[in-house]
Amino acid sequence: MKYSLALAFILSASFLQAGLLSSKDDVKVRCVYSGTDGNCVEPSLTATHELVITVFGQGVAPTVTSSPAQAYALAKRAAMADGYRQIAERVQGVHVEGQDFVKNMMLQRSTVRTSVEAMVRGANVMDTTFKDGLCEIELEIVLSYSRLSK
Amino acid sequence: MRNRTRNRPLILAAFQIISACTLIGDDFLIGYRVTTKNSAVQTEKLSVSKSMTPCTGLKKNSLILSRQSNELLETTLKNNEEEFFTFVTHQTLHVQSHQTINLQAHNSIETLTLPTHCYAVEFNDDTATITLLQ
Repeated sequence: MKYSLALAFILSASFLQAGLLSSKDDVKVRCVYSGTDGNCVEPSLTATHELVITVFGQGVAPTVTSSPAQAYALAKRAAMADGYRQIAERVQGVHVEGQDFVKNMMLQRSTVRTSVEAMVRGANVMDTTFKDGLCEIELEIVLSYSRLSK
Repeated sequence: MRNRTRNRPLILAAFQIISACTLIGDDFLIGYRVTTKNSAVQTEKLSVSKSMTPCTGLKKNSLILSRQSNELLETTLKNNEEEFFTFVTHQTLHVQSHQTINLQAHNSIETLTLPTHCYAVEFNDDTATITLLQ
């Protein structure tokens, strides 16, 4: 009798916690847009959920620098530019233009040009690593209706 | 009877205090641009100039940088470029990217631009406080 009562209490508590106490408004979509999180392959921005986009920008130091500190600073600049480009590409999209030149049924020249231009506000640097002349930064931007309306 | 010449140092000191008070805070126009080619920095340009007219706008984010006395703002920003760069990246940045891929090579050029904004700068003996006006 005691065991059955205890089991009923545990089950009711777990159901109460899962169903009644949790509200859907508290759950926020926080995942990488590329789909590294299995449950969040194609997140969408809604009025109640914010969308977090994470990118990893990479930059290398120039071959000639006056000091390791300068190499780090310049590599970080390049990584920032790369990260901002990735954010712009994901949020706004990329303009792609391709051109193939075929002569006598043979491909002579193939060129693909991509370009993106955007204004980005509110990106945060989450992590920075510098190893073997390569700087990698983790950039995160949070998109929400309240921020877009500003 | 007081001598007129004795009042001169007092007048000069008052004039210096008034002029110093007016020069402590100034408005500066600051812009920044960095261009990278194939993931390496090619050019970097920081533009600083004193505003010819007083800026209007509300004070937004602030940044406090350490400085030597009588140091120019441009020098202060270059000496603390990590802090300043982190500060400006929280604002709106313009990004422009062009990539060309062909059978032989892959070239990319990215330009990151901080649009020129007006900043109120307060100079102290060993610090400078930079506040965005927007």
